[in-house]
Amino acid sequence: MILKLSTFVFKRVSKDLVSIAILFVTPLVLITILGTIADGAMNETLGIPQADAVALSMIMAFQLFAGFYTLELMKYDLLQDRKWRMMALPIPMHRYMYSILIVTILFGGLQSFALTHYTRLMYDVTWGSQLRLIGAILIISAAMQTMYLNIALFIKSFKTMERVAVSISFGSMLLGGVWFQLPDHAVLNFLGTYGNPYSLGENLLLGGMRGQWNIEGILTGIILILFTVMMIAISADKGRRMYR
Amino acid sequence: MIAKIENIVKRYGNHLALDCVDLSIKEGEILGLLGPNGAGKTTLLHGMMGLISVDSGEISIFGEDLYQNKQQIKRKIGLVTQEVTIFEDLTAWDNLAFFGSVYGLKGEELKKNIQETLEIVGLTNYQKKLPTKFSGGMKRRLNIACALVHKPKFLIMDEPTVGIDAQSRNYILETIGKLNEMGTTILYTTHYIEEVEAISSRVVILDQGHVIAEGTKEELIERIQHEEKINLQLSGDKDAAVKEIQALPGVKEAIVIKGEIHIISQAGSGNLEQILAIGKKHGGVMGINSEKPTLEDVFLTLTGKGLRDGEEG
Repeated sequence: MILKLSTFVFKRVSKDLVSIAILFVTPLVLITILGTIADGAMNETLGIPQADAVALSMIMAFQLFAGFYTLELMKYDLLQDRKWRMMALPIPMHRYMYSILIVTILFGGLQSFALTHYTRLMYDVTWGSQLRLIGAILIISAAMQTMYLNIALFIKSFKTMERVAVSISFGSMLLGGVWFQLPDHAVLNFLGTYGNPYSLGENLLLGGMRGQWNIEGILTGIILILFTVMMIAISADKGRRMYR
Repeated sequence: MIAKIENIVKRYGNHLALDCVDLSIKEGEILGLLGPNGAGKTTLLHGMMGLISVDSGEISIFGEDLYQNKQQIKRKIGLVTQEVTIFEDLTAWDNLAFFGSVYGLKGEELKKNIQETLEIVGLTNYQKKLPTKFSGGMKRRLNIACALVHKPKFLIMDEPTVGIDAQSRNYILETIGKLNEMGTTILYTTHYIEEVEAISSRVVILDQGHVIAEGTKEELIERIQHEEKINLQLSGDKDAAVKEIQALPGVKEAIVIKGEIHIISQAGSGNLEQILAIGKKHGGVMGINSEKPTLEDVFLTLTGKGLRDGEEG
């Protein structure tokens, strides 16, 4: 049933041209412009070409915001007027949440995967093993979408939900050093490496780009998986209580 | 008996939304649930489907306890929501396929049910279109169709005709009649009295969380039918006729307004024939009509004429 309903959710998401324009076309355009400006320079901090670093940060940044797919679907289906119709159906509504989640994880992942191919063709960005890349993208996507699912479940006002989501996304990018490097301080260094979803995702992808299985990459992968499992467990409990 | 609700109470903070409500719905009937804004109609519907928890009372649907068999009971009920809650980004067909799938329909059975439902609501020619291109009436009809695709035994309709044109409303009311003829029991909630008058076999009036009246239209009208209005058009001496009419037992008032004699008489007093005789005596009757109370008179008598700006729960 969960998978069957996912097909309808997928149809809806794939027709949401505004979201696709914001979350897929915009990074595509930005990568094209910034990649052209990079022009063969090296990114000293990450130790990869600047074009690769641009592609990496754009994909991660828009992965963070791709959680809005989950937020919007939750809002329209289970938190506004439609919730009465959905609750009148003979299935527990917390299960329908997983139909949404399956689609948004795959759809968000698919968009990022398409972007990696675009950057490989345009700027010869090295993403490493395709299998490892797909796995990493799906782990990152799952972490982001489950985080947004919990934002939708725990915050009552839609405005606050959106503000919290945007704050987390920009805050993560700030800690991840997207715009500038934070001061060299133990706490900030930890938060900038393991303490935010942006850095965790970046480290996971970076390991693949470098073709390494370094401890940082493995650790971030484990943290993201544990984070996702925790988010699913919390949402399952909350969802069950909300739609009893 | 399709549904039996006994003594249910629902509070929102200090606001008592439902106060010891009893309601029973018989198989095969169309029960019109009438009430002003904020009367508690939607709260009652949500409560009897288990969508909200009630503070006390018992609800049994199809003879089963709602809280012990909620999912099984829901399989046999269709809910038409007050708001249009279709998926605007899915075609009419896909909307019905979604809801049909939830009820476990698949393959040929699902296809057949979708086709039949689209035909019932008159949207067969629009099955591949997105609802964004639909008129308000078409969206409302699709909204109803989504609750019909699994062929429910019991259909709950919460103000399904709000904000649509007369033609669409008429079509929907005819459709409800047809569904009822096909064996569907219907609970129809509205504040449009003429709709209840047109389709309901029995009426319940809810106000401020209380059931204040219940019965057939005729029974409810009977409750307030303590007086009748008679308008008499005479060609002769009206003043003399008025004096004689006023002297009749049971006549409360007889006055001339714009050349017509308006009489208010006690219902069942049998004055009509005597009034006609007086009319003939004073120059001849040109016209006479007697106004019976309507369901609207019942509703306004029982709920009052003051404005109601309440919130539905």
